[in-house]
Amino acid sequence: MYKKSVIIVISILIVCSLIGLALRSSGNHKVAQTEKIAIIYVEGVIVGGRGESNVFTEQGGTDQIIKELHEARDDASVKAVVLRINSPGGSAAASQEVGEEIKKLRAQGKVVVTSMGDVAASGGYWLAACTDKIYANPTTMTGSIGVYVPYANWEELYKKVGIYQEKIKSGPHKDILSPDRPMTNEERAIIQVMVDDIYSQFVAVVAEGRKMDVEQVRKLADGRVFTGNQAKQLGLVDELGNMYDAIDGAQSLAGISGKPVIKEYGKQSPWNMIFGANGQASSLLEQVIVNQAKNTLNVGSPTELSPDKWQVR
Amino acid sequence: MGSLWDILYDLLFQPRIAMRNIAEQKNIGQAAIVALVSILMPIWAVSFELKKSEMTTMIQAMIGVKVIGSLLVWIIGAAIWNLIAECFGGKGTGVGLFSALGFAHIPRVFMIPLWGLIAVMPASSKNVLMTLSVLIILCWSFALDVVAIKEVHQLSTAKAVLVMVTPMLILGLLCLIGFVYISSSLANMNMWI
Repeated sequence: MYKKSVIIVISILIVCSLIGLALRSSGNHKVAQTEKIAIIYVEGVIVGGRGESNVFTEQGGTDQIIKELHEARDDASVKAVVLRINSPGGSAAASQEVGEEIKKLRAQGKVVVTSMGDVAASGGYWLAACTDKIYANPTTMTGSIGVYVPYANWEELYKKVGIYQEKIKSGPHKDILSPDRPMTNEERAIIQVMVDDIYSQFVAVVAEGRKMDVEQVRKLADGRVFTGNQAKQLGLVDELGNMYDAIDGAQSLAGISGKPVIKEYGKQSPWNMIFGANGQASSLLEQVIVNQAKNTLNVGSPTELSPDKWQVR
Repeated sequence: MGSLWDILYDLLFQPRIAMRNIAEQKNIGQAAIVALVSILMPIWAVSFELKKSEMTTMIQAMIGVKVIGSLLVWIIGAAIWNLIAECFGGKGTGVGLFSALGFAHIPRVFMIPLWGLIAVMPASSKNVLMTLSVLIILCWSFALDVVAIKEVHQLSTAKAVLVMVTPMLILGLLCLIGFVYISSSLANMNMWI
C-alpha cells in the first residue's frame, strides 16, 4: 500500500508538470498569434534565381527573398515587414521583381519599412524606394541611382596569348558586347537605348516611391553615392536610425500596441552555418569582382550565348 | 509476485531487487507499457515547446524518428547486449533482459517535472539547467541499464558495464578503421587539377 501511494504521488507530480508545461506553451502560443513584425534580409549582390543552393540550404538570389515576402504576406499575424538591406545593388530585373513583390505586399495592407545597413545602393535603393518608409544610418552608403553595362575589350590581350574566337552569327548584333572585338557605334547606340530605358524605369520607381517629381529625381540620379545623412537632406531617406528604430517605425505605422513579436525570415540555420556560403563581407565584394571579370550585363538583359569553342593558335 | 506498483517503487528506490524480480517474471507487456509511456510522455512535453518554432513538419519527423529510434534501440539493443553478456558468461535470458531494459526507460518520465521546474527558472540559467537535467537522466538510465544486465545475467558490475559499452566501442573502432581506410585511399589517389 505504501509503495502504491508513493508511485501515485509521483505520477500525480508528473501529470501536473505535463499539464503545467502544456498550459505555459498554450499561453506562449497565444502571444505567437498576436501581431508580428517580420524581418526580411536582403544581403549581397541582388541576382535573380535561386542563388547558392545545396542539399541542405538555399540562400541569396531573389527567389528566396520573394518566397519570404510571400510567406510574410500569407501570415495574417504579420502586420509589418522590415526590409533589412545591405546590398550594393545588382541586376535590374532582379531588383525590379523584388520591388514589384514589395508593392504587392503593401497593397495587401501590410506596412513595409526599410532599414539600410552598411550599403543600400543602386538595386538596393530600388527596393528601398518601393517601401513605405526608409531608415538609414548617417554613414550608410546609398543612392547610386543609375544603370550601367560593363564592357571590357580584351582583343589585344587575346591576340597576345593567341586566342581566337570564331563565331557563326544569326545576326549582326548577336555577339553584342563580345569582349574579343571593339564595340561598333551602332551597338553602342543600341546599348545606350537599353540603359536609358532601364534608367527611366528606375527613376520612375524612385519618383513614385518617394513621391518626388521625376525631374527632381533625375537631378539626383546621376549615379552618385550619398551618405545616409545627405540622402535624408535630399529626401531619399525618411529617418536616420538603425534597425531597431526601423522596427519601432514599422510598429508605429502598423499601429501595433505593446512590445511587438519579431519574426525573422531567412535566419541562419545550423545547416546553413555548416554547409552554407562564406561570410557576407567577402562574398559581397567577390561577387562584384566576379561579375566584372565575367563582363556580365548588370542590367539583366539577355546575354549572348556563351562562346564555348575557343581556338588557341 | 509483485504488482506493477511494487516494481515501479523498487525501480526507483531499490533497482537491484526490482531488476531481479523483472528478470524472473519476464513480463513483457508491463515492460512495453512502461517503455512506451517513458518514451512518449517526454516527447509530448517537448512538442509543446517545439510547436512555437513553427516547423511543424520537422517536429513531426523528429518525433517519429525519436519514437522509432528508441524502440529500435530497445529491441535491437536487448538482443545485442544479451549476446555480449552470454559471451561474458552471463546466465540470464534474452526475454528477461528485454523486459528489464524496457523498465529501465523509467527515468525519462522524470524529465517532465524537471523541465516544469526549469520553465519557471530565470532565463539565463535555463540552458545550463536543461543540459544538467538531460545529463542526470542519461546517467540514471545508463546506471539502470547496467543494473539490468548485471541482475539478469548475474554478472559483476564491471562486466555489466563492459557489456553495456562494448557495442559502442566496436562502433567507434569500425568508424576509426573506416576513417583510416578512406584517408589512406585519398592519400594514394592521383589529384587532377
